[in-house]
Amino acid sequence: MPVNETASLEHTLTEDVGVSVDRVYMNALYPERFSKDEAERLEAVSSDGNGALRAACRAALSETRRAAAQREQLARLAELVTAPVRTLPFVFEPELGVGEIHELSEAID
Amino acid sequence: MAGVGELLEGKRVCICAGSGGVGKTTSSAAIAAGMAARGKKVAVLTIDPAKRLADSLGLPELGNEERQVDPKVFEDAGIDTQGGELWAMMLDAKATFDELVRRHAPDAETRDRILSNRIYQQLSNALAGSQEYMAMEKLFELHAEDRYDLLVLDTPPSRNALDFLEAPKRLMQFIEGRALQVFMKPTGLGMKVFGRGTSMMFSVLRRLTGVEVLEDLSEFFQAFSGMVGGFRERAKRVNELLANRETCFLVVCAPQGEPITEAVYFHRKLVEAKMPFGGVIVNKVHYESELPDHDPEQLRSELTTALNDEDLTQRVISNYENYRALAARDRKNIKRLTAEMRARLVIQVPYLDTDVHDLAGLMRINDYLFAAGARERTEIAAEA
Repeated sequence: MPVNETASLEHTLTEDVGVSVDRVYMNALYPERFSKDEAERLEAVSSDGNGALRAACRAALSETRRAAAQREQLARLAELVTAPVRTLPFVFEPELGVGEIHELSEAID
Repeated sequence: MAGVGELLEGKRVCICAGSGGVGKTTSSAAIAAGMAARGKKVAVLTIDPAKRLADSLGLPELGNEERQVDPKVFEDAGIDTQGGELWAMMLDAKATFDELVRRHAPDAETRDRILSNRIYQQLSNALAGSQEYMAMEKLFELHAEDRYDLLVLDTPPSRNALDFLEAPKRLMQFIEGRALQVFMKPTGLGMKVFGRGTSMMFSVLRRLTGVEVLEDLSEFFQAFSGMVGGFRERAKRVNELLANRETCFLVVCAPQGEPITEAVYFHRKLVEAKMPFGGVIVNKVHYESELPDHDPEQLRSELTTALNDEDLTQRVISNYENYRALAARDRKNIKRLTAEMRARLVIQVPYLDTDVHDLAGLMRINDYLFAAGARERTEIAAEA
C-alpha cells in the first residue's frame, strides 16, 4: 500500500473507527548492499564494460537507487503516521518457501 | 497489437483501473501527457495526485476544477505538442455531490436546505461508494461538456478496484432503499412520525442528544425526495458512458503473482459486464533483455579484475542472480496474463530506478506505453 493511503488508513482507523494502530509495516525493503563509494566504482566499470559485466554492474546500481528511493519514502511514512514503523525485507525468491516465511516472521516479531 | 496511442484512437474516455500501489496514478498521468504531446486536448482526473509530480507540472494546488499544465513545461522538455493541451483535476467527492444537488434541486430553497442540512453533510462524506460514484459523475459531466478530446480517469483506490462499476447501482439502491422510501413518501411512516413537529419523541431525543437530529433527518428526506428522479436518470447515463464504444478500460497491475491474478480477475469482470476493455499495463517489470545470459565463472573473473575486490564482486553477483530470478518470475507471471488476455494488449513498463516526478519521467514511461510493439519495448529496455 502506498505511503499516502497508509497514512490515510491509519487516520481513519484511529479517528473515525476508534481502533488503535500498534505498528505500521513497510514491506519489501531493498537491502543497502552497496556503499556510495562502491556505487561510484560500479558506475565506472559499467561505463567501460559490456555484456554481463555491464549488466551486473547496472543491476547493482539500480538496486542502490531503488534502495535509496525506498528510504526516502520510509522517512516520509514515519513522519506521516503516529504508530511505530517497522520494515520487512524484500524477498528475492520467486515463490515464498519455508525459509523466506521464517525470515519474514523473524522480522515481524 | 501496438501501443496506447493506437488503442486510444477515436476514444474519448480512458479509465485506468487497478489496485493501489501498482503505479496507476503515474500511468494515468503518463497516458494523458503522451496524448497531449500528440496534439490532443486531454484532462486527467485523479483522486490523489502524486505531490512531487503535480508540483513539477506547476500544479501545486489541484481542486475539483480542471487546471491546465503550462505549455511551457512541455516546451522546456523539448516537446512540441502541436496544439495539444494537458489539464488535470483532483476529484473531490463532497464537492461533486454538492454540484449534483445544485443541479437536481427543484428550487433554490430546497437546494440550500439540503446543502446546509447536517445529515446531508455527514452523508455526502460517508455514503458508501460515493467516492467511486462521484468520480464517475465528474467524468460524465466533463464528457457531456465536450471540452476535451480525451478524459483519463485514475480510479479511486478502494478495496475492490472495480467498485466504481457498481457505484451508480449502489447509489440508486441506497436512494431507492426501503428505509429512505419510508421517510420520503408523504403518506409513509416518516410523515406519521415526523409530521408531528411537537411530538414527545423529538423533545426527548433533543434532551438526550442536545441536537435536532430528527428534525434534520425529516427535513433532509423530504427535501431529497424531489431529486430521486434526477439522480436515477443521471446514474443510468453514467452507466451508459462506461459501456460506450468511445470508452476504453485499461487495467494497471504489477508483475507479482497476486496483482497479476487480480488483473486477470478485473479483465474477466469487465468483459462480463460488457465494458470496452482495452488492455493491461504491467508496471515495474524486470526486463530480461537487461540481464543477458552469462558464464558465471567468466563473470566472476571479469568483475574481480575490474573491481579488484572479492567481497564486492560476490555482492554484485548475488544481486545479479536475484535480479535474474525476479525477471524469470515476471516473465512467468506475464505469460499467464498474456494467455488470459487472448491477443489483447499487454504493455510492460520496466521497474525504473527512481520515482517518476516530472514530465521527463512520464515521457520515459511513454517510450514503453506508446511504443509500436513488444519487440520495440524490449529494445528500448536493453538500450536504456
